[in-house]
Amino acid sequence: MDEELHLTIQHAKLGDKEAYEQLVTQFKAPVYRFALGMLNDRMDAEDVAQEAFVKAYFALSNLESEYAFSSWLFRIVSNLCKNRLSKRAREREFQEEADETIIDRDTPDPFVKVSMEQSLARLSVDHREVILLHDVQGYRYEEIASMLHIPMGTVKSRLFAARMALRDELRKGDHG
Amino acid sequence: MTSHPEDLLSAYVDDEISEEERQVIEAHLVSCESCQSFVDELYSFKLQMQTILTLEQPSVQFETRVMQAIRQQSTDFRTTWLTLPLIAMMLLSAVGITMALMYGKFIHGFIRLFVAIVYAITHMVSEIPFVSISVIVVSLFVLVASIYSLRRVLQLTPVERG
Ligand SMILES: [Zn+2]
Repeated sequence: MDEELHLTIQHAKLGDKEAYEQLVTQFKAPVYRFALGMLNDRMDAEDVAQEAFVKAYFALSNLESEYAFSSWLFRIVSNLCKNRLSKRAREREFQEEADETIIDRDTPDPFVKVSMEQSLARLSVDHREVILLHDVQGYRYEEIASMLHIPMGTVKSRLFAARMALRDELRKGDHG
Repeated sequence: MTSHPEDLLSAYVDDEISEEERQVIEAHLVSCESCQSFVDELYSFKLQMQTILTLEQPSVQFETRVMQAIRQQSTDFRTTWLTLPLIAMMLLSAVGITMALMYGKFIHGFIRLFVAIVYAITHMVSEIPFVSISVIVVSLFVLVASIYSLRRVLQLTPVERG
């Protein structure tokens, strides 16, 4: 971490709003992309990413080390994404009860070659999360382990399982 | 080597394995075509993943909205924590003023009560031992009557503010 960023985080921690705004500028794109990968919806991603930054601002005093800022921030946005996804699942459940004939939009069309994005969207939340953190955000196994409070061996096996699932999804689309 | 170390290959492309494991894997890859192609596939996944979201950008008003929400919540927070004691203080002052007004209005009630107590005590002292019991009874009666009248006045008179 460069010294300037470290200083900015320190200032933000002391309540400097301008310093915090700089942090938002610096981290908004990765946080937004992560949320987009998790939620597969631009409006929701924008919403959740903003919420994460607001939440982080008021929780900044809980941040133990300035060096852990980005992984701490991703933990916040990841939890918010999971909340949003379970809320969505509840809503869908409710909707399906109301209308039994609703078409599951997630069913892959065998004649269309699925893209990487679509395949990613069909993975489980845990698989998506670990792929986004590792491949898209570039975190190391160790960082992901501390972020998600899971052992490093779990990160390793989960990432492997996620990639296998991804391969299956991509192959499903190749039949057409 | 017969078993394919597929789970290790995922960590291998991430460069998250020990030197020992690397040697084992690389020795296997030389002789195993299926694992070699699996590794190629994993590299390709990783590469594609790194690029899929790079073109996506949050809105231009992102920071503005975040800072607006923060300022909004800060003032909400401040108003709550300033308003609560303020309301409490105002309530207390209102009660205080009312009490003061009542005391002013019913001061004669307290004087009557005080007089009754003084009367009872002086009689108790002077008439001991013969009439003391009757004096005590009478004094107690006066005391109770005073308290009762004071209470009635307090209950019946509406609060008037100066
Ligand atoms: Zn093999």
